[in-house]
Amino acid sequence: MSFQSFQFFVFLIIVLFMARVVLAKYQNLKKLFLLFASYFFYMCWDYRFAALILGITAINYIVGPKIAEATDKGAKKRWLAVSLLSSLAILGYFKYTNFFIDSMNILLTNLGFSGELPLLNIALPVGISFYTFQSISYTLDIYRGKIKPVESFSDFALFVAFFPQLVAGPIVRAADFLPQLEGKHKEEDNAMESGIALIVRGLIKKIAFADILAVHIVDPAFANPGNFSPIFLLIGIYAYSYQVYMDFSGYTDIARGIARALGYELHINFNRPYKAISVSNFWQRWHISMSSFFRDYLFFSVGGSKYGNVYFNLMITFVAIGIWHGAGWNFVVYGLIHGGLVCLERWRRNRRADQGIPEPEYKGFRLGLQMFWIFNVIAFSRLFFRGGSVESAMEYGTAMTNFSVTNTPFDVLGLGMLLLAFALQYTPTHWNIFWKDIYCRVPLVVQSMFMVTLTYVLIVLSTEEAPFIYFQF
Amino acid sequence: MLLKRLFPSSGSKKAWFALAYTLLAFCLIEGALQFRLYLKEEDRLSDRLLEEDTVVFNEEFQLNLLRPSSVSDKDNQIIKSNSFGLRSPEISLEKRANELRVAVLGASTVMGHTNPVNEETLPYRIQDQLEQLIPNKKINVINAGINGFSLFEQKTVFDKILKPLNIDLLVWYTGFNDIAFYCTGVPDQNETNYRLVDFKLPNWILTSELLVKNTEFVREIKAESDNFVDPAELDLMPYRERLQAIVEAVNEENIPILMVANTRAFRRDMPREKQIELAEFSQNKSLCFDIDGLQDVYDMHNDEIINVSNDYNLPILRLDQIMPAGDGYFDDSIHFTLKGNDFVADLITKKIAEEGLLNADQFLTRREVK
Repeated sequence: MSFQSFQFFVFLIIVLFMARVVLAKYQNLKKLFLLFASYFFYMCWDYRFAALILGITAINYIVGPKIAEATDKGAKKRWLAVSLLSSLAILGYFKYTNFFIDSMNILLTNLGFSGELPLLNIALPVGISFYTFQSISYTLDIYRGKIKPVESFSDFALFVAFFPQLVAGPIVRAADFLPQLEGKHKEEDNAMESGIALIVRGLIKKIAFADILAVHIVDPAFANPGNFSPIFLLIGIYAYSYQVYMDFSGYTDIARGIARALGYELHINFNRPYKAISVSNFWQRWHISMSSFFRDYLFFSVGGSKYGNVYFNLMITFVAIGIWHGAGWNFVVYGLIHGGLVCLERWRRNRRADQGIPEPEYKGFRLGLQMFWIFNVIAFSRLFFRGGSVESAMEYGTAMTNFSVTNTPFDVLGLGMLLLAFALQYTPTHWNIFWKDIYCRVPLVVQSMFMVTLTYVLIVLSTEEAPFIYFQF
Repeated sequence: MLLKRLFPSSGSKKAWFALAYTLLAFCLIEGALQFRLYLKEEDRLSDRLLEEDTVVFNEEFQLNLLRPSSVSDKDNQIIKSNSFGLRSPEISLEKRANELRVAVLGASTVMGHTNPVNEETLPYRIQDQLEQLIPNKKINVINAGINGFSLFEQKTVFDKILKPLNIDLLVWYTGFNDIAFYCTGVPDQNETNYRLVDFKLPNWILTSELLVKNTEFVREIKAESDNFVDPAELDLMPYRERLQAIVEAVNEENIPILMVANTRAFRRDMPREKQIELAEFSQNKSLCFDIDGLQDVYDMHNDEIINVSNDYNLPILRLDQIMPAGDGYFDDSIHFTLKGNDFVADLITKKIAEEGLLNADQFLTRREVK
């Protein structure tokens, strides 16, 4: 049940009506209803995995108070290990078993052994990386003394399974969300309207940008790179960068919009990532809930910049980020590239600091040039992300050097949407608020007319129902 | 005031009204479109709502078959189905002593995609001719073709429907549906739907259909037009394996097979424009081939059918060589007209007699029939 489907539209209207109108005065009933709706939503993807999410929820709900109650540090650590190992073992089994077997087969073949270990027929539960990390953030925060264990199982279950962010984030921290469920949160004015405005914006990003870029430029370019000219392939790489951004940030907007319309607040996940002036800066702007999760719970846990070798710690963190995205060597390479570049930037910064040279200030043309350079670095590294394998990425790269192919089949729609996506990235940030305000302030009739027109435009532009890219993670 | 009493804390009233107005606007526009359609074609929404889908998923056979024992009258075509969901007369599981059962296995050409009534379909015409040639036997020719069936579904039809019917002969016209897999990918045969519910926008809604139909130009993909698949690079081994799987399943039951090579309306010796015109239906099904590629890939698949018939020593009717091309025998690029069906039925019947494929006591000669 994808966010852009008719099925979801009907589901959302019912859930909004029940939660906001019928059960608005009965908070506990409202939460129970949302929990039921969230499990229903998840079971519309695959009903078998409801037991899995329930299992992860139960483990961490039981372990949470044990950590808090333990008097000595050793016991706390042991209970935390129970939570981490059990949750990560489930994630590892479903997501990485075949990757491990496949890698073992390659290793054994190279060592001269004959025969192969058979791959297992394991279906990847949608959103498993997101809700596993969300669950373990709860026990980690209790261990660090940031939060107290939640008393209500249904509250905790709703925190793990809350449907707007269940399958593709943003990864919500227990410390941010659980207090909202306890009513310790003041809803903003016009929450419904601004929530709907966010949903509309997310749908535009997904259908009018991401899907159009995918169908008109990215998919043909990556399906058969040898058929296209280097300039088309170059634009294909740029288009993919905007496709993945519009797709994922569109999903986040919809998730945040639904949550807000229901009376809850989720953190932003993107902050104009292609305005980054360094790779480190990019990761402060891209998929913020995930990168900050790895920073807080992995990078700092392995020593951060205070203990051990900071470069080694950074490499561990970025390889983990790469592997989090998928089970494949291409994702390992993706993590290594980003980790390597962040290490390089850190080394240069440290060296400058040692020599007393101030950090460079980017302004005007130099700022634009730096942003463009970083955008290119990010875009090219995504060859490993999109290609599906290291070989595919290499094939694409090789095709980019074949200047004898001149086939450059751009069309107005694909190229136009790419240019518009590019332009929108560099509009002033306050326009975001402006957009929401305008939507909330216009008369009712105009709001309705706008929504009707928009829906019609979305039907026209809609390609085959394409799933959000991050569902696979 | 009443709303406030009903919904004391319903969030922003304005947002709810906006949603309600939006839904109302949709309904009004949709209503106008439905009314326009009624005025134009006297097509009532109520009729379409009550109308049942012709094709339904059959849980027992795990196939999309016709609605069992039904009569569908749509688009100037009357399709009568039997209890199995085939476009064929009713047939019992028990075979009578003097009965001969022939199944014609295939896809839309066998089913009669463009034939207005069951009586004009290829299996019916074969039955008609066999009844004349073998008057002392009760002949039952089963139409085991359904639109869109690839060899995967055809194997299931044989295993689950035809095998229990104790047939005496299988006439097999595979059709071309497997060729589309080179453009769309081979479907996962083990894929199971584990969704709790799975519903889509009802197909009677006109708003989306009208919008999508009139804005095709927006979705035209320029990059794909130059991106045809080269037939020389295709791996036909999976297709051959699928053919072999069916042949072996039929052989296991000791049922004789008459293979029929696929034929088509568009041929290489025609002017290119004519080829493209006649191939329109096939090209829409296999968008990743240009007209030359389509000719090649159709021939290559026929070669596989011929090779398999040779490997298993099965009789084959080279319809591709015998049947005239052009639109006299074809309704579109691959489906036969009544004249085409009669022509093919005649050839098949002759071949059955020549090869002695039916254990009939006595075949009358054509002259005797006359």
